[in-house]
Amino acid sequence: MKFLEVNKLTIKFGDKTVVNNLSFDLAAGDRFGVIGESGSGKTMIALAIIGLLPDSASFSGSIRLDGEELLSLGDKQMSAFRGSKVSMVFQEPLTALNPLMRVGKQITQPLRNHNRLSARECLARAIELCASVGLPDPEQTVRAYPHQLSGGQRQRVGLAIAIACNPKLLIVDEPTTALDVTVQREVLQTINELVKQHSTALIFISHDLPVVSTMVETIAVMQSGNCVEQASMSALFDQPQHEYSKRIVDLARATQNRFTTFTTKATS
Amino acid sequence: MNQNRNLFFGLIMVGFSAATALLSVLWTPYDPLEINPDVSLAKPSWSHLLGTDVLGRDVLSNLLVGSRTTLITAFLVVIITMALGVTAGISTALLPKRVGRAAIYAIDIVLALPAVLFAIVLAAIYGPSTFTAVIAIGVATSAAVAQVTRREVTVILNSDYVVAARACNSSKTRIVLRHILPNIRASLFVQASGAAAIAILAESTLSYLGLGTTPPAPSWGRMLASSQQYLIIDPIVALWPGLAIIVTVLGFNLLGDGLRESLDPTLRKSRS
Amino acid sequence: MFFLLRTLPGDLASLKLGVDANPEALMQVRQEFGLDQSLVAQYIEWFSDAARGDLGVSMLTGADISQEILNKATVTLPLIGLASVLAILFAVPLGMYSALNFRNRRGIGVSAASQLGIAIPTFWVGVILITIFAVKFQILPSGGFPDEGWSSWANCLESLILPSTTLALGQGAILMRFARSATIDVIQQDFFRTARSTGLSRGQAIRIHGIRNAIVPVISVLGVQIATLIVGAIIVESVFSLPGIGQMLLQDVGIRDYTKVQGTVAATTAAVFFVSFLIDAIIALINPKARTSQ
Repeated sequence: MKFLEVNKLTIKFGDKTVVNNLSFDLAAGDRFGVIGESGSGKTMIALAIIGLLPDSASFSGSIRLDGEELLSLGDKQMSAFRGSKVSMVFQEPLTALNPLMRVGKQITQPLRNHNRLSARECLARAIELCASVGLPDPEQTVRAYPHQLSGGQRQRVGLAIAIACNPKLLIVDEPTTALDVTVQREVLQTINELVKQHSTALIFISHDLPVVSTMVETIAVMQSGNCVEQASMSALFDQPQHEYSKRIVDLARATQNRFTTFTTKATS
Repeated sequence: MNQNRNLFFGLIMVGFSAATALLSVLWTPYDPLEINPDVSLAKPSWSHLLGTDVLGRDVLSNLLVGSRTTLITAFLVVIITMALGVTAGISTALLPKRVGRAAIYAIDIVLALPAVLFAIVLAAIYGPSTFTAVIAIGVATSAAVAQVTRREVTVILNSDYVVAARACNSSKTRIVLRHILPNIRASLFVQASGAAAIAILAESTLSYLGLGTTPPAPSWGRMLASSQQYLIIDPIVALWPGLAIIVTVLGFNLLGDGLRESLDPTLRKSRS
Repeated sequence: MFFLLRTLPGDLASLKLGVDANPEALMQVRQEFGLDQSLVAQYIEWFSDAARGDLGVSMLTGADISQEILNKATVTLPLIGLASVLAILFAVPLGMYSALNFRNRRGIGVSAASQLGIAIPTFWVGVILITIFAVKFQILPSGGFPDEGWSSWANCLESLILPSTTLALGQGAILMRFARSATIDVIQQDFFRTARSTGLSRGQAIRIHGIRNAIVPVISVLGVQIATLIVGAIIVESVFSLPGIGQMLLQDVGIRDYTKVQGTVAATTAAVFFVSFLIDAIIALINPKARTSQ
């Protein structure tokens, strides 16, 4: 039994099918990518796993995490998973943080939900987390408000929130799309290090194939809700099977030399 | 219409009030002013469906005629409010900067003043009557209408097709008539029903305080005031005028909401 | 406010003409009260006095206006304050509740109730409350206020319970609708989703993150509603026979004591300004972005 098993997942909004019959597996510590354009349903997959699909969505199929069937869990039961076993980093750093609350408090939110820590322990842990995600001057940052930080810093805060309780599965949804190119690379590097350090399983969602290719070993290609191809990164680049995959690989090849490949470096 | 519950219920409630007002013109069970001390404070019965007040006047009849007062007052107020408000709104939007700004300032001042307070002061000077109440409420509420209208008109003025029209040298009046008025029509209806609701509440409040409709003309607010002294004996009498007010005001509110929903689809609120 | 007051001095003269028939006495009175000066001069003089806190003396009774207002304020101010607090306590949780449940029956029910609430005239609520609590069950007084004032504060509070609840219900209904839409806004925000992803249930997320964000519009609406609160106070004081500023104002209007009315309205307006200023300050405190305003 694998760590994460997604089986025939279908998500609909009324008559519109946004994810159609998707199946994939993950072992603990695996890194999996999902690539597709906006509207291809990739974010919905993430929301389904973490249980935050909008109320108007209907779904069928199965998502098993560590043997537990997630889709049949109620909100309260799912809340126990969120932040502790599964967590997510969202796309828009500007709006993903509560503007009226200090950053440190938001980082320790998952800690307070799932562990019993004293205020001092929380503060210490918050500073620790800020440091591990690469935020400068952690002690000051903890007391800052989101609007006082840059985009890249805010995304790191989002990352800190997600890893606070050392989840077994981390989902990141277009984590660098809203950032400057120079910052992108650093944030990706940070994600990579964290995931390696804690052997966290990673699901990386993006529309940018070169970016994804540096972060994951296996990838699923989404088009209009359908998974048109699922392969290892190298297989995809060498021999894309589907028309759509071929197109995006060609596009990526044109800009391939942007990044070094982290995974190959890691496994060599 | 079936999906727009607000509109549906709003129309029913307002229609009901209007119907009773019309009915009262033609017929009431009793003469509302007829004093009949023998049946003072009678409980509801077949002869007096809602009972009588302390002077033996039939409650139902008074309610019916009261609806006449209420609706006429509301109507007059709405006319004043909309006339003043819309003209003020449109003019301040069209006027050149400095004059416009002074006018806006004036509107803000009036806006800060609640209708009832204004009415109280007017009543102080000129003596209470339906007339002063109507003027006061009308003027006070017009400020809000003016403000909203001005905002909307400004938006329209800056839209492409109006700029094009001005470039072709259309006269200002033509712009107003052809472009502005039709586009704000929907919002005007909504504001009018809102104004009606406010008017009714304000008028009944003033009547309650003794500053509105003068006796012996029946008014829901005053019926409530006079019934207060006899609560120990017959509390039910206080119920009816209040209910009447609630139904009518709620009706206008729902009507306004319903109109807004049906006339402007971009304002649909419900999202996933 | 000022423009309105300006009309009053003009009418003072005509009023006086009615009250005092004797032309000689008339001249004397006019001189005494400075009515023979031009309108503008009168106004300037009055205003400069008022700014210093001296609202002059009532033309009819000779009593000091500022003093009278202060006396009655001991009733009105606690009334308004209590009502505001009650209204917020009442509106915010209900607003948030109806927002959380805005698709199911409970939420819609609460929302419908607020629709009803804004249609109900304040004085009716007062009378109904009197009927229930004072007449039927006889727990609370139906009106009036202890003569000794706040020295017997338990009695005073007792007299204020029903009136402030009446005021609070009306205001609360309005505030609740704002709280509701503010909360719905929050729910649709991204950071709400982030909060949920940390493991908070909907209710918890609202309570921890939502309150801060939802309360801001509620408080600023309250600032705007001050004027309505004052009107409400006037009504409620009338319903419950409370000797406050509202009732005083009504009486003065009845006996045409213009100077007093003028002074009272002016003082009230000043108070309104002050309160809105205060509320802006409070909002700045809560909203860190507003503090460092660009």
